[in-house]
Amino acid sequence: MISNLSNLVARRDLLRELVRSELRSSTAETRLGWLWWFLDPLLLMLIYWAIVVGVLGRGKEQYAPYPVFLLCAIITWKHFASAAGTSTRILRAKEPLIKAIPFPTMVLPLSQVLSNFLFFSFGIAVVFVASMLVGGQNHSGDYVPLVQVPALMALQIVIVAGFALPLSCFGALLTDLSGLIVHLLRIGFYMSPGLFGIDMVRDALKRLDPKAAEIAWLPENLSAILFSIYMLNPFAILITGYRNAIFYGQYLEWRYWLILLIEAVILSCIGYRIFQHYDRRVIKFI
Amino acid sequence: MTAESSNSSDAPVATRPGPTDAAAAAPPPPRRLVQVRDLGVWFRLHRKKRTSLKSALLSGHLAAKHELLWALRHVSLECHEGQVVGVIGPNGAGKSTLCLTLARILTPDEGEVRIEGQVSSLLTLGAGFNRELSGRANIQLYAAFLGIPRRRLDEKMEEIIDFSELGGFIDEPVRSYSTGMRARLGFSVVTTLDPEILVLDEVLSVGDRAFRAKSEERMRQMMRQSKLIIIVSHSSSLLREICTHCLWLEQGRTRRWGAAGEILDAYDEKMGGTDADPAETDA
Repeated sequence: MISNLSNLVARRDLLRELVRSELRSSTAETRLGWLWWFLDPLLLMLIYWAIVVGVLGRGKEQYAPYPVFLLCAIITWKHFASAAGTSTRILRAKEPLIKAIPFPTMVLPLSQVLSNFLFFSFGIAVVFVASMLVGGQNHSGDYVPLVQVPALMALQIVIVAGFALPLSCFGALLTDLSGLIVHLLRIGFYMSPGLFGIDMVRDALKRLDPKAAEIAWLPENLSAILFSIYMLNPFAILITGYRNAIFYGQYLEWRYWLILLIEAVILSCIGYRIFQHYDRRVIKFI
Repeated sequence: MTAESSNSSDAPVATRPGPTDAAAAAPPPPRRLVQVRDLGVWFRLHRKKRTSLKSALLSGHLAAKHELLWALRHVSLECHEGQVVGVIGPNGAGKSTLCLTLARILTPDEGEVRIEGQVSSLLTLGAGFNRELSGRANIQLYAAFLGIPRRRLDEKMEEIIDFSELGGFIDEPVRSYSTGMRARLGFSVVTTLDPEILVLDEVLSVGDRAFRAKSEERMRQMMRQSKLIIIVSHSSSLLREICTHCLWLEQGRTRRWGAAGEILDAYDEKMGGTDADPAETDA
C-alpha cells in the first residue's frame, strides 16, 4: 500500500502533465474553450431559476439572489459529477495505453478529479464575484468567513477522489455502470440541497413530528434524527458550507466540519484500498 | 518440457563443464538481471458478454466465475547481463503476455518475476496520444507516461522532433496525422530512453522504407546501450541475426530454452521453412 503511494508521488510529473493536457485539449479545439465547462452549470441555473421563481413563484427571500444561491450548489455538484462520471469510463477508454506502458493507473481517475477541480475553483471565484456584485445575504460586510472556502475545497477534493478511485475500477469491471452512473448522479443532486437550503429540509422533516408523536415506538425527536442522517451526505455539508461562507457570511457549525473530515478520511482510505485491490486485475478485463 | 527448460537455463553455453571446474576457472559470472520462476498468467475464457450489474449482484462477485485460460504456465527463465534473448513461437503461444509481464504491466498469477534494473518496453507505439493536442504537447505527455524526466526531455525535444521528420506538422493536432506519422512520433519519443533492460515486441518496422532504415539503426544503437534485450518476433531470421539465446514458447509452456542457433534450427525445422512469410511478420 505504501509502495504504491510513494510510486504515485514519484510520478507526480505524470499527473501534472495529464491534468495540463486535459485542460489544454478541452480548450484547444472549441471556440468557447473552457467556457463549455460552465455552460452546463449556467444553463441549469437559468432553468431552475425560471422554474422555481418564474413558474412556481417559490423564491424565498433568504435565498435571493437565487441564481447565485443555485450556482454555489451546481458547480460543487458538477465537480463531483464530472469527475465521477468520466472516472467510470476512463480505464476502458485508456485501455491501449494501460497495456503499452507501465504506470500507476491511479493517475487516470485522479487527473479527472484535479482538472475538474481547477474548473470548479474558477467557478467558486465566479460565485464570489457575482455575490459581491449583485449582493448576497451577507449584510454585515464581514468577509472573514471566506477563510473557510479553501478548507472546504481541500476536503472536497479528497472526498471526490474517494469516490472516483473505486468508481473507475467498478466502471471497468461492470459495463452497465457507466450508463447507470448518470442517473445515480442526477438522483444525488436532487437529494442534496441544490435547489433549496437545508433549512427547508429541516422544516419539512419537522412536519413529520406531530404524526410521529401518535406512534408510540417512534422516538420523540424523529425529525432531528432524520435531519442528522440527511446531513451525513458530504455534499449537503459542502454546499451549505460554501453558501454560509460566500453567500451569508457565516460559519459552518463545528460538528459539520468534524463529520466532513471523518468522511474525507474514510472515503479516501476505502477508495484507495478498493483501487489497490482491483488495479492490476482490471487490466485483464478491459 | 519443464525439465528441459530448467536444465538448460543455468548453462547458456552448449558444452557444460563440471560445477567445480567452473567455479575455479571462470571469471565472475555476468549479473543476473531477470529471473522468472514458474510463471503463470491466466485470462478468462468464453466471456461472451461482459459482467452485467445483475449477474454481479446475483453472484455476489464483481468478477463472475469463468473458465481460465493459462496464457503462460510453468515458464522459467534466467537472463544475464550481455544477453539478447529472443522469444519465438506461433500465435497465441504467450509471447506478448510474457512481454507484458516482464514490462510489469501484468502481474504474475503464479510464480514470480524478479527484475534487477530499469526496464523499458516497446510494445505499442503512441498508445497514449491525445488526438486533440499537438505533436509537441503529445511528446511531453507521452514522455511523462514513459517516466522521462522533464529536464532530459527539454534537452532532447528538438532531437525528437527532427528524428520524427514531422516538420511543420509537429504543432498540428495529432488527429490530423496519418498512422505512419503517429508511429514515427511514438518511436522517436520511446527511443530517447536508455534502459538497462529492453523489452521489444516486434515494433521494428515503422514508417516508409527510408524511415525504416533509420529506425532500425536507432534500435541497434539502443540495443548496444542496454545490458539485456528481450525481443519477441515471428521472424527467426531476425532473431538468428541478433540473439544469443532463445525461448521457444508453445501454448503458454516452454517448448525449449537455450542457445539461439540451436533453438532456431529446431524451430525452423518444426515450422517447415527457414522463416515466416515477411507479410505475416508485419501483421
